[in-house]
Amino acid sequence: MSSRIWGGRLLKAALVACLPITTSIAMAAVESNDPIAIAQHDWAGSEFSALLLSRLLQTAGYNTKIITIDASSVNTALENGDITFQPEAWTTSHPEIEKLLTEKKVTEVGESGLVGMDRYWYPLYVKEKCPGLPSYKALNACAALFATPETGSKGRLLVYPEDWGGNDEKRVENLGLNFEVVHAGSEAALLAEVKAAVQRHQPILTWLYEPHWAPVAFKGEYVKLPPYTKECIESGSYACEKPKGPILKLAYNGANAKWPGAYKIFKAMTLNNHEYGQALEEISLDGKTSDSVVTEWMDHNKDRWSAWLK
Amino acid sequence: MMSTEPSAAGRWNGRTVILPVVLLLIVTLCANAGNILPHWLVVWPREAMLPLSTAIGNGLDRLARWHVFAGITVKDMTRALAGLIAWPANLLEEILVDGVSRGTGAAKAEVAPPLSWLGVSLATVWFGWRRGGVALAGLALLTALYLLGLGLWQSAMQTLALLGVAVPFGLALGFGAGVILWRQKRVQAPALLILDQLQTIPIFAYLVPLVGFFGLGSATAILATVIFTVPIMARTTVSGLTRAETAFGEVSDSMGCRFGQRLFLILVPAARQELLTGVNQVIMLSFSCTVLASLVGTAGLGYNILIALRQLNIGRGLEAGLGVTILAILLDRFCATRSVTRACGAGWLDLGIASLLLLVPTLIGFHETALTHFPDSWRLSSGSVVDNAVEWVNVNLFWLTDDIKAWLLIHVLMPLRDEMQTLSWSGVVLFLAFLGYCARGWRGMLLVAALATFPAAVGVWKPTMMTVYLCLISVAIATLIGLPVGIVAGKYPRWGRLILTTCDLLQTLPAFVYLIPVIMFFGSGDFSAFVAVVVFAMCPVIRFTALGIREVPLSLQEAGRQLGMTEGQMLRKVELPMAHSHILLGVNFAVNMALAMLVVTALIGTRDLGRETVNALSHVDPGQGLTAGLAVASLSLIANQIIGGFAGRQPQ
Repeated sequence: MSSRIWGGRLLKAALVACLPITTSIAMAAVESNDPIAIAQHDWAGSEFSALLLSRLLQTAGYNTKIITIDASSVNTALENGDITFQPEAWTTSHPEIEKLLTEKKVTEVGESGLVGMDRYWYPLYVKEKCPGLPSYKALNACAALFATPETGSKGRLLVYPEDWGGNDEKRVENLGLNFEVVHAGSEAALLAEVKAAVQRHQPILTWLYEPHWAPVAFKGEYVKLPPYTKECIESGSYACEKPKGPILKLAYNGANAKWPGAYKIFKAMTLNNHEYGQALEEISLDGKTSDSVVTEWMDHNKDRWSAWLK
Repeated sequence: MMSTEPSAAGRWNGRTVILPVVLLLIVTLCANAGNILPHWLVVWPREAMLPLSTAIGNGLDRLARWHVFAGITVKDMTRALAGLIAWPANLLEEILVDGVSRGTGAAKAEVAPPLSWLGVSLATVWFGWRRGGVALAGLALLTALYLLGLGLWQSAMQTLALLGVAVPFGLALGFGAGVILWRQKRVQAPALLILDQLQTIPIFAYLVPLVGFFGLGSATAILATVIFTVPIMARTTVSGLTRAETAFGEVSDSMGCRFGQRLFLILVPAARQELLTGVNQVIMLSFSCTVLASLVGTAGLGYNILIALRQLNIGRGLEAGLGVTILAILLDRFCATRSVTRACGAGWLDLGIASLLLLVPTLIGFHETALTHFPDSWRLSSGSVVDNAVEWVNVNLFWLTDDIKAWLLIHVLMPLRDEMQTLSWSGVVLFLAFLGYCARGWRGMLLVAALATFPAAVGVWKPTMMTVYLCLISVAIATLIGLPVGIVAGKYPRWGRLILTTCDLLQTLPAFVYLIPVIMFFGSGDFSAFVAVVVFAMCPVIRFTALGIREVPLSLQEAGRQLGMTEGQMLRKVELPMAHSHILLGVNFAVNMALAMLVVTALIGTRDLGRETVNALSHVDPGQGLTAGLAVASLSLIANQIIGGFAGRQPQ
């Protein structure tokens, strides 16, 4: 499976580039030659982070395989050890992760350094028709702009599928917005609708998140809601911004015992939103392969990642 | 419709049935509004709810931890089995995709490259030419060029490595089950019913438990595919063997054949046509699972589709989708033609030449990497042509699509949905049971009533009614469109070929591919789901109508002409009544298709049973998923009982 991701020659080039370090570190005995399974999801950012982790572990002498898997089945796999490392667990959009952690079904390795941010978003051209934006207070006056036959006189707020959480119904109600919350069936469906609306220059109000390619590709702004406070969420009113959430690194419970060295490397690895966003953009918009983006990143950040390997 | 001869049981007497049906319908509709019924007959009481969902969840959990002996749990055993199943698939993948390598990690070294693309293509074309002449060779060449040119070769080989195990496995298991059921006449009917049920459970529903027991990767993907394909093979085997037995059974008995001889030398060849249909169905269904297989961690064309759609690259999604289609068609043609022209003697020579064609480029590939990996610079791509076309339609025809959508939503879909939501479960069960009685008598009535009560009793009544509403309206529209098209296809063979080929294409193209443009035109929600389902469910109606029209006996056609009937009269008085049972069967298939498709359309935003299975997938809740899956299966079984029962009554 790995060769699908490794272009053969690129692999060799990368290995030659890392040769001095490879030899010095690969000397350290690797605890187990069993392949370490790394989860890769179908969003472009995950292509980057999974491949980077795989490269790093291989440089340290471990045998890795990247497993392409849907976000829906990754947790079962992680629990059973079919996946060893999960570099990107989005707590913001996958509330079930918290349950897994409290039940100790998976190990939390730490924060990935990336921060997820969910916001309501509209394309820039909407601003002309609804001048009060980006304040949420302007939305009610423009509700008719966003209305569809299904929502009647109410505006339509398109959000992610129900199982992503978000409590949008409560938020809309308690903010007193004259909007109906409509759940898209999947991320692809939501983005397709946004893309179509942007092509037609139609008003649309939706939920987008960062780091993601969509807010980069489509020109738009986030609606300003009352700022996030702890009480606002805990009281169950939700009439404020969604909390920013760390993206966690998770591991199979037996991973630390079997590959302590690899576990240490995984724990040390952190990325930030800026570089991740850049990688995302290069992969999804500029059409670069994730392979070349990772190689580029490794060339530029040699100091950082060699410190992780120590 | 022509007058129908009272059947032996005398339950169905043409028009007399309409009155009570209408009456019951009215009662059902009014039941809630008039508050005639006590509340527990309207909404299933919470206290009486069967906790099936949690029971399944706990049961599976306990089963997984159950110790068989000496500390080995069931899960350990299924894991070992998974390794066994995955072994041939991994081997195939090494041969076709990765090449054989030794060592691990940084010390990994390639021992032998995978089979060369040139070799595989040449060998396929050669076999195609020997088996099916120029046409098949041309198709093989086209497939190879398509996959290579668009850079899909590696993914296609990964898909083939997986299906190379799943298809034979499904065929063998289905054939075996079919032979056993054919022998055991007593359990045949109920067992076939259960198998049918199995096939209508959406794959989404059993993906979670499968991943739990068998882990990620090829084993789970193969098993999911096999579970999906076994029933159809078993069914065709049973019907083929039974038919062959009535024709040739006595011959074989009189010759004193042993069981094995009788089965393999006489009955199987005699039932070849049916068995081949089974093979065709297994291949097509297996290919339709490729996208789902990619959800559990296998690479291949399905994964390409998934990725392209997540990134909204419709062009690339379509390329990969057509790759699946063309590969499926090629494989199907290979299986279909091979047994028709079974040339003897020349077989070994063919095989020799084919292996020569295969091995020479591969051996050269040891030195020349261009022969193992198709050079990137030779690739083409349809690029953004498709995306631009979709954008053009989206921008320029929006006024039209939007008006149609608004009208249908306000006047048809939304009123119907609201009406369905208010129905009482008891009224619906009663109504369906009555139809079941008309179609199949007392037994049918009891079965249908039990099946209809199931969703209410396990607490998924609301989403079930959503599914029913979408299914009803889409099948109705699909029939309205499919019937005239089918009549044209049946009466004019030249048009027929074009229409039926289009149908083939629409059905083998993975549904995910055209969901995205549908959302772009119509937004997420019920309407998009409705459009997608209509497109998908139209094909069986067209196909069966065309078949029915074509099979009107020549003598009847002649008789009609002799009587001086016009074309319109012929259609109304002769052809449609004669084709009536075929058309009903088509509608029956359309219902099944619609139910299958409605699970997939949950991904574009419906709130029905499909959504329940998808939610279960992300919450890792096998109980919820399987419960919703069983509800879908019972809906489809109800439709089969009722429509199939009516279709079984031939007009005279």
